[in-house]
Order: sequence, then C-alpha cells, then structure tokens
Amino acid sequence: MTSLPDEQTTQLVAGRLLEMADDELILSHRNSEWTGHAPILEEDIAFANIAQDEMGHALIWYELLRSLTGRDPDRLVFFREPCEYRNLQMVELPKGDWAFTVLRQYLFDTWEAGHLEALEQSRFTPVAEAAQKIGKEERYHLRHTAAWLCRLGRGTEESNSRMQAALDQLWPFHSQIWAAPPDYERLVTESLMPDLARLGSLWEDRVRTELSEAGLTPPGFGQPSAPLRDEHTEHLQPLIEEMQQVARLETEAGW
Amino acid sequence: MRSLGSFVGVTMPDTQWPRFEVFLIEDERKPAEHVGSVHAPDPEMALLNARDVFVRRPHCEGLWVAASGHVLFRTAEELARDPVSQNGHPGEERRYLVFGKPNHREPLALAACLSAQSPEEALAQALKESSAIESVLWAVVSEAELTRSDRNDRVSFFEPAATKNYKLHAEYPTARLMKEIRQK
Repeated sequence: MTSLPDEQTTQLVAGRLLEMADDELILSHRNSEWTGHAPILEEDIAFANIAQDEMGHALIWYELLRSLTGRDPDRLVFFREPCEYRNLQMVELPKGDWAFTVLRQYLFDTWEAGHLEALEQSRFTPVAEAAQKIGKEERYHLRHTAAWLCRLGRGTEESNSRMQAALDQLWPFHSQIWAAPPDYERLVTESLMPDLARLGSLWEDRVRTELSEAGLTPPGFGQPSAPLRDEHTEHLQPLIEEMQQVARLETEAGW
Repeated sequence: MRSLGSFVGVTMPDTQWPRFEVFLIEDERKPAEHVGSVHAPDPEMALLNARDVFVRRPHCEGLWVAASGHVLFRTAEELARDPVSQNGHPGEERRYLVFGKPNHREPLALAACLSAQSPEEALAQALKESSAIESVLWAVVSEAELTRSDRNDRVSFFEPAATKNYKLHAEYPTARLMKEIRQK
C-alpha cells in the first residue's frame, strides 16, 4: 500500500521514521569527525564515504517523513533542540579511538542488516522500497566493518585490548536498539513495521557469535532498563551545537 | 620514528601497509585496466580499499588487486636497455596476464593472457607474439596472485554508484541565495 489508513497510524510511522533518520544522522556526524584523521589515507576515504552514505540514508528517511507530515528535513536537522532528537545514545557517544569507532559501526551495521531486511517486508511500499535501496549499501558497510572487527580483534594484544575496552563501554547501550516507542505494537500487528524485540534477540545472538570469533566477550552487565529515546547523554548537546552552528548563523542561507 | 625534517633528501622507509596494484573492469566488453594502487594489510582489505578509492562513483563491473611485489613493471626504456630473456627464469608453469600502455594518454590495459614459467618469460613471449604493438609500459601478473571481486558483490560494491552523481558547483543555489541575503 502506498498510503496509510488513518492519522494515528501516520503519526506512529512518522515517529519511528524520525528515530531511524536521527540514528543515521548522528552516527554520520560522528563518523565524519574522522575525515582527515583516519589511520591511513585509504581508510580516511573509505570512512568518509561511509559517513556520507549514512547521511544519504538519513535523508531518505527524513524525506519519507516529510511526505507524511510535511516537516522539512533541513528544519528538523538544524533547528531542533538536542532534547527533541530521537537517536540512540550509542551513536551520540564521542568517536573515541579507532577501535571504539569500528566496534560501534559494527554493532550498528549488523543491527541495520537485520532491521532493513525486515523493513523490506513492510506493507507500506515507500518504507519497503527505501529499505531495499539502503540495504544494498549497508551490505558493503558491513563487509568493511566486519573485516576491521576481525583484524583488530584477532590482531595484536594491544588491538584486542582496545576492542575489548570499546565493547565494555558500548555494550551497556546495546539494548536500547530494540526498545520500541509507545503504541509501536500497532504497526507490527498491521505489518507496517517489524517486531523490534524479535530482531533484537536475533541480532544479539549474531553479534555474540561474531564477537566471540573475533576474540571479544561482551561484559556481563548492562543497563537495568533501556532509556527512552528522548533521554540523552551529555555528549549530544555539543555535537548538535557544532552541527547547527553555521545554519543558525544565517537562517535564510541555503546550499 | 624521526621527524620528517631530518630526512630531507633521504629516502623515507615506507612504514605503511604493503601496496597492492588495482585493476578495474569498467565494462565487461572492455579489457581490464590498471588504475593505481592502495595500501592494505591483506588482499580482502585491498579490494575494499580499492572499491572506496577508485569506484565510489564511476561505472564499474569488476575489481582485481595484486600485491605490488607480484606485479612486474617494465618501461620501454628499461626494455631497450635490458631486454628480458625468454628462458632465464624457469619456474612453475602458470597463466600470466600482460598489460600494455600504447602511449602516455591511453590506459595500461590487458593485452595478452598466456602460459609461462615466470613473469619475465610471459613478457618476452608477449613481446615476440605482438611485436607490432607499441607500448611505453608493460605490467605482468600471474592470475594466481589476483584477488577479484565476486559477481555477487556487484550489487553492494558497484550499484550504489549509479545514483551518486557529481554535482557541479553551479547547481548549488548558495551563490544566488547569498546575493539575495546581501541585497536585503
């Protein structure tokens, strides 16, 4: 189907699209911070590409959101307050060292692989088509990130300990990835959006296996309950300030 | 490592990862072309780096990489000075790919594929068989040393490029918008 049945469903789908778009945008921004600083020139180019791809994916979701609610993507990105962002806490954490960045990208890419595959089954055609388009590129991201995971995890003692430290730091944030917004169940029942809890458990099984193959062990602790998407760490505000700085200097400027 | 300044005039040791030569198949009806090189710790990473460095946007149907140490390069001048001998390097019989560059404007493209016991022998054979072909530069690599992108990789490696077009600066409305703002 190409249109949604009623206003309430439209708002629910729009709410979830905003979460998905914000995840891509904030991760893209964090990744772009490596431009000019990645370990070697080739990786600098590769990772800048990935950051740009994630930005493109954010735009696909923001545009779909615009078609449902009329909200302008540029206004959403440059004129919202940090507390209005709905991204995961995992993606807003500072970029850390290369191990931290690789591990975060790996966790996000593996989640996206399953999430996008499920979104391709959505009865709402624009979502299914967007997921198919994004999925092609994400398969490449995952191959790139998984190659790094394995080489750093099984590389030297230092690379392994840095990866393990990154995992210890990121793991407490992992369960937020499948936390569903209020009334999301309705979208699952109507096959508009996938069951996040089911995807979450498949994802956790997969990453536990692959992390263990890379010589890494998730810590035995986590957050007692996943925070809501309107709760953020202290790291989001400086990121948003920097990202919005130029746009807010001259509100009528464009590009 | 000492600072770069103290090495002025001295050849820097290459502290980076090994180098891999990159060959690109723009279109399956055209021969593979040498496009440059990338640094990478191993062939899989070299293939991924090659994809990001060389084919984010251009049309491409396949990529090959080979460790630089396994690719024999010879310029026309070098060959004139020191001709390759066809039977000086006996080894295992392998399939070799020979690339030639007809002039400085055209690419170093696949010119012959033949069996030989060494890259030198493969080059000597190619020179003998195609003496009519002028080339300013030759490259020879054993097929066994190549790591190639898989046909199944095409969708994720090369298809997204089709929707990423270069946008000329004139297509951005920035200049016009800024002019309007200044006029106000």
